[in-house]
Amino acid sequence: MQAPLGEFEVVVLMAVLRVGNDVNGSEVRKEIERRTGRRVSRGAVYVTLDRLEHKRLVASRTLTDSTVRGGITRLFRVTPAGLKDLRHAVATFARMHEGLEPVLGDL
Amino acid sequence: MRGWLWHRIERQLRKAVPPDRVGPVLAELFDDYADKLREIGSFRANLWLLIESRSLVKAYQRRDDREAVAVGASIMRSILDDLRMAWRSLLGARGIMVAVILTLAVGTGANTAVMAVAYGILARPLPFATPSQLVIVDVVRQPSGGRTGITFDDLGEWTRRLEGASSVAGFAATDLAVLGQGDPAIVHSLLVTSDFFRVLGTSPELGRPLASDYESIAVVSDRYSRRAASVGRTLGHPLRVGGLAFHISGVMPPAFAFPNDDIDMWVPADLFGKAPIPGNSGDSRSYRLVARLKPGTSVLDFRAEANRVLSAIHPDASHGAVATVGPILDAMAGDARPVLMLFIGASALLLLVACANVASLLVGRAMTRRREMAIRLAVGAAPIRLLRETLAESVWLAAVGSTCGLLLAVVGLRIFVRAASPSLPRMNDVRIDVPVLLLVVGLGVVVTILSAMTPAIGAMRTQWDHAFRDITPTGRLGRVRGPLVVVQISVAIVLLTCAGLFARTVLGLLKGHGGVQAERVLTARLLLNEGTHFDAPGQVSFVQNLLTQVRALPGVESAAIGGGLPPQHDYLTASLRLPDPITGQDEMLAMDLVPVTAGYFESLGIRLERGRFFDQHDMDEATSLAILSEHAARDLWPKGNAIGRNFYVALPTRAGPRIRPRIVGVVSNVHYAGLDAADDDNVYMLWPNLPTAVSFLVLKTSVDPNGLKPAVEQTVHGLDAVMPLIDVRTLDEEMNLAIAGRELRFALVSTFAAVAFFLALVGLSAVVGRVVIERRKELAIRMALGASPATIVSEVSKWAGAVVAVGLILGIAGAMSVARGVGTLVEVISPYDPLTFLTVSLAVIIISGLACLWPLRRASRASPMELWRDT
Repeated sequence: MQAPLGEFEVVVLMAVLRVGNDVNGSEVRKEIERRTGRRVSRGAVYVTLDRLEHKRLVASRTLTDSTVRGGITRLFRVTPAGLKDLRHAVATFARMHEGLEPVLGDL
Repeated sequence: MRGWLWHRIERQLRKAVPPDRVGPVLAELFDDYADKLREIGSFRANLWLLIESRSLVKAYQRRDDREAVAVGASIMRSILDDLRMAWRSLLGARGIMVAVILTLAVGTGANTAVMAVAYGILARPLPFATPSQLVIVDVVRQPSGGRTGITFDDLGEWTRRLEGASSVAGFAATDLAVLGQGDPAIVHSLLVTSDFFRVLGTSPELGRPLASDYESIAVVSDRYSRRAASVGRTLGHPLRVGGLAFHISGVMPPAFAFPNDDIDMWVPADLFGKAPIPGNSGDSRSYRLVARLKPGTSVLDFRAEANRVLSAIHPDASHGAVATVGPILDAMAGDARPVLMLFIGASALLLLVACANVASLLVGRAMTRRREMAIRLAVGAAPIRLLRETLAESVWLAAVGSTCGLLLAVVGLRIFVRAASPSLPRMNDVRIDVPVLLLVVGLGVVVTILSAMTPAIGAMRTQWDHAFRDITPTGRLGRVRGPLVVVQISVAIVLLTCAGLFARTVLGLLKGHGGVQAERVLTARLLLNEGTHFDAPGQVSFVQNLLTQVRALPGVESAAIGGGLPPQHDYLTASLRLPDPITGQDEMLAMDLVPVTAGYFESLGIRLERGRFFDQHDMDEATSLAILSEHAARDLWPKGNAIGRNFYVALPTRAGPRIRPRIVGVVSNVHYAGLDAADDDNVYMLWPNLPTAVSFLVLKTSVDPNGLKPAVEQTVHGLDAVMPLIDVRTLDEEMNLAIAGRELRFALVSTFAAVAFFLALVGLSAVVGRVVIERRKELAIRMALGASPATIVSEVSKWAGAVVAVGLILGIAGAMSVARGVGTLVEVISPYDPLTFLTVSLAVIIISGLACLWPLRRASRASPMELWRDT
């Protein structure tokens, strides 16, 4: 059993899911910044994606494509295992949130 | 668009980001940068780029650190760094590295192989339940030590009376002729009483053990069952053993061996009872006991009890019979112990030479690196750091060296086991496994670290100012090398002397071939009682027919039958009581009694001294004639001619009354009781007078005798299909079997000696070479001042000569004391054989001289300028 997902890992996984599969690091970061309104360091996103890939929660493929502007890009998607862990993490949040609505308000 | 800033940042990122990731990271960053340029202008876009790239570099650096700490990799990495560095520095000294590794491989390899053998024979657990409780009981005559054993009739009495044992069983080894399917075969068997397997605490792997003594069953070895299965004999299959019908009731596990690993069948002793067992060897009727001691009974107590039982059963046993009791391992491996000790000693000495060699090689290396070490210490390198490097080098050398040693051991062991299986017990148990492996690795590591660290620590003590001085030839380290070479040479001499003694033993035994000419002679053993007939007359006519047919075979010059075969098969002996002419007291004289047919002497090349051989006419008439060996003739008629006289006493015949045969000839002495036996007295009778159940067919051939083996087998089986014909061998093969044990000792010790001597020579030559190199500057100055090269050579060779001389003296002293130890293994000659000692000493002096020649020539050839420049 791996360590449970960290908060930022959950955020990154959700961002990959939101943009849809085959998303590169830069787009993930933009999605996070857009939804949360907070600034996220580029390095943090890349390193987190690498770590998630190492845990086999996301998979990536490197695409050499002259139609892309930089000529090369790395596209990520969430693996079934990633989906499972993410579901588990969100469920944990939800269960902990139960009964706290008076304090925290509805989210 | 990609300006200087971008290129700078790209460089930074390529350093920080792992190479397989950096491409997309850069591309995507540039993508966004391009957008920024368009959106916010180049100045602010460049600022943005700086901040972004910093965050990337920092994130990746943090990750690296975290991972490193996570696996505790920093220690690992520094060890790996040490190893990498050591490997590189060893590559710089390839010659030394190869020499050290080979030396280590030889030293550890030989020791591993020998240890595997010793462990297998002496220490591997025996295949019985609680073997420490098991003892073997036997009866011997004192003081000769000859076996009397226990008779079958006494077994019950012994078993009843021995109270210190919880269970007792009797056993006796014998060869049984087994008939069934396929060719008749002789099987090494053990006659055992019913408790036998219960005492040992082992039961068959398949089937059931011997339950009742009166059931006609046999338990066979795993090896035998495999062989039998290939000709269709399996569990429950009927066999005819020694004339009785049997069936196989059980198969023992492969590891089971008692008392030797050549026993293939265990059969109930009661079935044979007192009935003569055809084809058996002399002592098969004398039993031994295997007993399981009750807890609390010591071997000593049990020995006392056994002797009480012996005198209770035979109150009149005043003729010096003693019961012996020994642990079961002694019975199984006892004879091998001195030989194993010899092997262990020889391999340990070889290891010592190897250590000395490794040490002197590494001392040489430490000396060349002294300057480097001194500089590094002087500029502040931690001594521990330098030691760690040396340690890492030793680890490499030990690892590679012992791996090579292991390979050597595996190959050597395979050869050794094949060579040793006739002369050493428990060869099945010899293999390389975990305990043995641990030993190799341990040996390799200890040897290298000891030999590497000592010079390293020595080098560490070097004063810092050595860094700026020329290397002096007589440092603390330099002085170590003389003694190291002395040790090597003296140990090599000890081994060479042992090898020489064993060589003289083998040669001495083979000299004269036991009195016969062994070339082009084929021999075979016939078990005449096992044929489809026979009483004595039937056997005589069978033999006549056989000889007629065999003599007709192409390539056969002569053929005969004899009741014994040199050098080590004597089946009949006659004891005569003779008055000693000097003291007047009676003296016992044992003689080999060999019934032979005409042609026996001619076939074996036994020389006629006086009188005549037996001829065909004597055979047909079966007159009572005898031929004596020279030795026997001298013993019986010390003054006069033996020919024409009747034999001293009446000799037994098979058919009827004893006869006093007339002596018609005297022939040369022949050994029938082993090559190492003293010259025996031989009496030859005509075979028809005393036809022996075990007889040897001997053929003198004009062609290679090996080619005649199938034809002889065909002829025998043509006359009688079930007649067992075994041990079809050339006489040369018989000779080799008779000396197999000694040959093995000689081969092993001489291999070790040769390797040790070679290592010593390499050590000597290398050290002399280094001495020359180190004294180059001094030599150059002296040559420039007019010293001739000859003086220089004599200087260095004096040093080398002194080293060899001291080594020689110590070596001979060591060899003398070792010779006393191996004395029991040296036959025919004295262990202090002067010829061996002299030859070894001369050889060592001459060969060491040659080994020094090359480095010395180099010293004498060089011009002063060359020597000066080299420094």
